[in-house]
Amino acid sequence: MIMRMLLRCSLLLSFLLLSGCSTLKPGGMFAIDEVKPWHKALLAEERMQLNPYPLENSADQKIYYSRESANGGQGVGGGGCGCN
Amino acid sequence: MQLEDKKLPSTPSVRNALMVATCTVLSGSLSPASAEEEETTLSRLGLSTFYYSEENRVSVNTTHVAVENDLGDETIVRANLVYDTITGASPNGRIIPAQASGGSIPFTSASGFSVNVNSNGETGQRWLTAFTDKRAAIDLSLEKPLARMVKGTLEGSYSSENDFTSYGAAGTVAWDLHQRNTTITGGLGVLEESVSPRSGTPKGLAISNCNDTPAALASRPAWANCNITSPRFGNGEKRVIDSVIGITHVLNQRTVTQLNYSYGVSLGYLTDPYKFISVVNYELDAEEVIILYENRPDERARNSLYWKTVSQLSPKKVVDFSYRYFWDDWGIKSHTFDYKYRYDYAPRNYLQPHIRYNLQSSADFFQKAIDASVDSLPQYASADYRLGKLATYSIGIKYGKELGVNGLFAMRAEYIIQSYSGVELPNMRALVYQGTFTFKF
Repeated sequence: MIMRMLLRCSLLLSFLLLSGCSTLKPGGMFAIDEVKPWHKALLAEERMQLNPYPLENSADQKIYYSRESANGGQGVGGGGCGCN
Repeated sequence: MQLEDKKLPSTPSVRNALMVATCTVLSGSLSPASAEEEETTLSRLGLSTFYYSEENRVSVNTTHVAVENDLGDETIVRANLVYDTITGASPNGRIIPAQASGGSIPFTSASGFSVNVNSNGETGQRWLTAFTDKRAAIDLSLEKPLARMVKGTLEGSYSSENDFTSYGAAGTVAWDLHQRNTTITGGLGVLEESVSPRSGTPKGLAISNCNDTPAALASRPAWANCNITSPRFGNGEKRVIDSVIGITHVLNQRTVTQLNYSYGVSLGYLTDPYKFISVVNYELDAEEVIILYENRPDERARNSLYWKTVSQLSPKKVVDFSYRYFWDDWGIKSHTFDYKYRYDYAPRNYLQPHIRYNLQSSADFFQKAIDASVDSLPQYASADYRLGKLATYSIGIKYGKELGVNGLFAMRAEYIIQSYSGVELPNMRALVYQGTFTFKF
């Protein structure tokens, strides 16, 4: 029960953090700017990729595929498993 | 040719430098929407060792080797090799015995299927089936430009377990727009899978075992004939087709976001041949009267909406947030939130806390047991906890360190709790450890 409360609080704090990140300008991280190719140095960093850690993502996908009914969403491909 | 007649204006060197930089970037390999830069011109080797352990249930050891090689001209080949060893016990769908009866009741088998009913029952663990398995998987892909702003990826996969085989093929096309600030992605994948239990696949909702106690015999339903051996068939074959269409957009210099819609269908043998459903007499201390094999529909249509955003809050802080809404025609709906917060607390070192939350509703045909007083059986029934209402909470921490110029080491630990509303299973608790090493050369 304590664990659940802790996780729910963490989730709520995360949302607050996300929505409250108006650090630089209105809209915060969701501000829409025209981005020129030479402005993309940050976005080219590995940590800014949509799947920056594929080895970990692959392991997580398998865990939750075998323990939950919902799966997918990130794309197509990858092998199946008869996970029990 | 007309350009040759034009002279470059005699402008300041800064302006020329910008023009050169622009042309270089536009003609180069930079793909801002997916934000892969010069690194894709390198080869990579990734190694991972992964340990997953559920309390009193399943343990999995995984070794994963990933290789990526740039053949030049933006053509990249990737290979993934995975080897799993799996041991432990998994809930099989049977109800947990009531305290009073303890589960040490005499059962007779109607099928000859090698499920150990009594020995597990005596320890009160008859709701678990012990098993061991090994899985080897290989995945190969080729990424290649199809046009100046379009690239395609072809992928083939194969995996094999003692009783399960999967062949897969997938193709993805990504089209960059608006100075590569937007990428439209479409993909299609097909899996051909086969499950091959040693004794064959059972007939859905056929009898596996019957309780022979006098009280159970007296309350045995009229539709149950325990004197006939249930039929068994060959391998269970299924085809899984998945499609995805998505848009990725660079919102600003620090944020990239993605929205995907996925649609998939599964056709064929979708029942789990190792899962049971208990027929219980609620007037007899809710004790099992009969054990049936579960039965699921042979079609399933799945949908999901997936949204992900990665943003740099400050030079040291990056957040990675995703939400997925999933629904299918079995009646399952699911919400999944995932949040990672990377903090580069020192040069070349970072910590990354992670939380994940999944809430799932149950399938229409899910029930924890069948009441022995019913006149006839439903068409479909499953007591597999994964089709029931459940919630999964995960919390973890990762430490990463750059090794030299080209190496990266990371280790992480996660704690997972899964709780159930539709079945009386104890919460599942699991620990995950993973170490990864990536080297570019």
